[in-house]
Amino acid sequence: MLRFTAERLIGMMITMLLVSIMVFAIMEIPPGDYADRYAFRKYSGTGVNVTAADVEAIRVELGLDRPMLVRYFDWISGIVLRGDFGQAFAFETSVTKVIGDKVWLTTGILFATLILTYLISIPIGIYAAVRRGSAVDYGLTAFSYMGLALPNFLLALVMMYFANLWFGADIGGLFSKEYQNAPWSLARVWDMLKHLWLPAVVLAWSAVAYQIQTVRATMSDELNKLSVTAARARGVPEKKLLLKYPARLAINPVVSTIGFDVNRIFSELPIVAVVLGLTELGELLLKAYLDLDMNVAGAILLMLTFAIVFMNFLSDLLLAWLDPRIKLGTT
Amino acid sequence: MMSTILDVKNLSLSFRTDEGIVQPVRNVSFSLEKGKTLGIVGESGSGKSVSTKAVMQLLPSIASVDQDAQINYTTKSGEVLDLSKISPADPQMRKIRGGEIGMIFQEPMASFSPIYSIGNQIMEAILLHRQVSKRQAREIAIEMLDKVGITNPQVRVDQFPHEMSGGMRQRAMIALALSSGPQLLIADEPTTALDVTIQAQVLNLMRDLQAELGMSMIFITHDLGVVAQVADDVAVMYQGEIVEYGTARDVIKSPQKPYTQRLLDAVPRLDNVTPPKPLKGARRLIDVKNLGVEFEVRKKKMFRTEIEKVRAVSDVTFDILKGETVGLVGESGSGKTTVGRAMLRAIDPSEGEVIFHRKKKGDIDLAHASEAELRNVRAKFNMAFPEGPVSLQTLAGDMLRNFRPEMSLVFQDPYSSLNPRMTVRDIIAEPLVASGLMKDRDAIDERVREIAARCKIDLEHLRRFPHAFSGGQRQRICIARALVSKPKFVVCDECVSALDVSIQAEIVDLLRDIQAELGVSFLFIAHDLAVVAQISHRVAVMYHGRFVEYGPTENIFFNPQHPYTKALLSAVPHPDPDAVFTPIRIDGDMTYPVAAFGADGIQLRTPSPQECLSGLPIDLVEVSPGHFVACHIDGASSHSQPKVPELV
Repeated sequence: MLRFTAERLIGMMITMLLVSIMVFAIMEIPPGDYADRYAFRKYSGTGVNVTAADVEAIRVELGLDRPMLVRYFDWISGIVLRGDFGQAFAFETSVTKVIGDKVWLTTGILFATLILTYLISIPIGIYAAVRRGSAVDYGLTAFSYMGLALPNFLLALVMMYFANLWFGADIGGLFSKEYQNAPWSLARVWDMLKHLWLPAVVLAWSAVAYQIQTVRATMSDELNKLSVTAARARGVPEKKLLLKYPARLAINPVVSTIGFDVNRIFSELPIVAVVLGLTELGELLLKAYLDLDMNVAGAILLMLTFAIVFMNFLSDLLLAWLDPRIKLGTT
Repeated sequence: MMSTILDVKNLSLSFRTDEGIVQPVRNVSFSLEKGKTLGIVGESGSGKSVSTKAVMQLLPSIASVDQDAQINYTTKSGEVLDLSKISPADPQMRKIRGGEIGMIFQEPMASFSPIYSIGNQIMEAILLHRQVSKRQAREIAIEMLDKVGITNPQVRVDQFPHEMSGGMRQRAMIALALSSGPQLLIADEPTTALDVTIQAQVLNLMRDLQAELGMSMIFITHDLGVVAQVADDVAVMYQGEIVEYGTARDVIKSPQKPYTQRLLDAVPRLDNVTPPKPLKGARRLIDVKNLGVEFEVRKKKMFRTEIEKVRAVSDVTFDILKGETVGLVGESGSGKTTVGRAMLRAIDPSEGEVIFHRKKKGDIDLAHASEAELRNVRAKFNMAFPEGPVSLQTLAGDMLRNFRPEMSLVFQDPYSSLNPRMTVRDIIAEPLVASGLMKDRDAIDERVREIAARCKIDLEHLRRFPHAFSGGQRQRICIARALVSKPKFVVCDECVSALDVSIQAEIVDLLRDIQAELGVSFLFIAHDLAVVAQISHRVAVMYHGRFVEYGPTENIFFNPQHPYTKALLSAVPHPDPDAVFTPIRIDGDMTYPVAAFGADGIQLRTPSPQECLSGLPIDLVEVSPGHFVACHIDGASSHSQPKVPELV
């Protein structure tokens, strides 16, 4: 197990290194750099004539004139050694400050969605497989297809309407008014949780529908295995039998796709965020691209890929624990 | 006085299927006395397995036991329960499962869950049925593993199923079933998936344990030889009913019912077989010289890939005559299949030659030949060797494809080797189409019909899809496909192993007839020695990738020289209750006597298994005309002590 973990950790580090290079390259791709944009913003409307020399001076001031390799090492060493993602040019402050809270909010939504997805889909999928062919099973299947067919933003709108109707106003956003700009406190966290469930439910909706089908299919296969009959033949009580043998293998495909789920949630988040009036990273990423504020965009991309790589690492560990045969593949 | 432990009366089962109610078991009655063994024999689909599942209430959810059935079981405490009236969810039933009645299954791989250690699953059974602590349960588990002959049980107990061989897993399964102390063991084809030598060990183990623990046993099998060796009573099942029921001796020695008689007649018997005589005067079709195959196994390490070479076949030399069948026997992993595939160049041999001798083809009028025929002939012109010996090894790419129609392969599993989306006609025609041998649809149709008729396939069936056919019919389709391009040589890889004995006999007859008609040569690969003896003119015995013995079938089966051949033959149970079953344990009981004397009178000794595996040169020495035995000269081997010579 130790060796397996070490191998996966090293692999993860290599992946992150490659990803950082790619992210940096992406940051370099758009034509022009922030020096142009900065000059435009600073002097537009002032009547001052901006010369190429002025732009160049800004470029030197911002350090954008140095060779790419130097800037990459500068950038990545800042992140690794000091947790410093550089300057957010458009905001005239550090990236860390700009992203700040939004990281935690996004992470919160992400985990809330994942946990909700698995808490609902795994037991239901297992139940549907055990009661295969029953009315409950057909009902769940119908629900699944509906879940897959319904677009997220529509669901968000509908949910918001009903939430407003039942739980009173102020359901959009992630905080109530009084906590909007308040410092972090237990009360603020509680307030956030009260708001978190709505985006989590909206985002989890289609994932639940999909994962129920996955769990149900794998569980149905596992239920017919001879090893399950053999366990039954040695007198293992039915409930314990289901959980110990087929269920453990049935969650395998779910676990192995955690990384995909993270990615999917992050790509669906911006639209849902717009509808629900949330301020989270996805929206900021879009804005940063429009502003050519590549330090902010790079930081967000890097965090996102780190989240995916890390979740993949976790899912590898979980899989190895769930199915002891998996370790063999690496030695 | 004997007491009855299980008394089944009028057992009928109903399955609700899409086609309505089906009754796979009808009016089955049998009883079992304490300490005795009941054998239930029958072919696939006869209902033998499902009727014992009814005893354990392990039926699928679509099944129900009919009302007037009685399954009277006498518990250890002497209480008589009708199991058919107890719900599967009843705690009483759970106590019976495992605690009173143990069960072992056909597939040792699938009957353990892969995600828990062997010990975990054995301890589970112990903890469910015996009042012991976890640590005691572990002790018992280790003790049981030791009892079933698993070496190093302290280590094995923590291993996972995939870390064990098939034979070892079946032993572990027996240990599991017995660890919770049942008084009745139901064994559902427990040795069918095992090699014959391992089967012999497991049968002996079960017999010993039964005697030691005073258990009763129900032994389900399709193998009459196995039944003759283990059972006191035998029930023969056919299409859901018991057609004959009596003591093993009565049923096997003097069957009363025609079905039992037919079943017994269909069983190939090693103790009563007349193998085909070696061919005389036939020309050589294929010469295999020093064939060797090495596989590369890629092992992923952290930053590099290590390539490990695994030797599958070493130094195999033999020939096949025109119209001859050469049998290839050996246990799983011995390299039989690899030899067959390497001969067809389905895999690349690492060394040696496979030479295919071709006789000059008949004349062809090129001026009037169709385009397809011309292309066909051109392809042969293009080959470097239009006539005479062609070394298959030097053929590559296009040339090999052009050549393939002359050779063919029939696989073991008739279910997975047919494409379910193609009609039977298209399946059979495929080799012609793929090789471009024939282009004209009508001509192809005609050839397909001709070969289908020869393989006794109903011509009406050509338009259907393979799922509509039984195993035997599918295997006929496979054979027709292999023969459609009129090959000179066909490799039959375990092509009857998956079939019931009666179907097996039909297919063997079919192959014989086709050989007589078409003069085709077969390499017949099988682990079932009796079938090989029925059909082969000559036989080669493989062990760890080498030929250890090779010669006329009669010599190999009735006058074996190599200790491994002897061990293999001794492990086959004969369908004769009076036959003494004393299998030789490989390595353990084997002796390595002097097999022959070399040209200079030097003693030649048969090599031990370790020596077969090592790279030491081993020669096939001719001990009688055409009969070769693997030997090496004692003086040449540096590390082994010669055993005391015994005369054979």
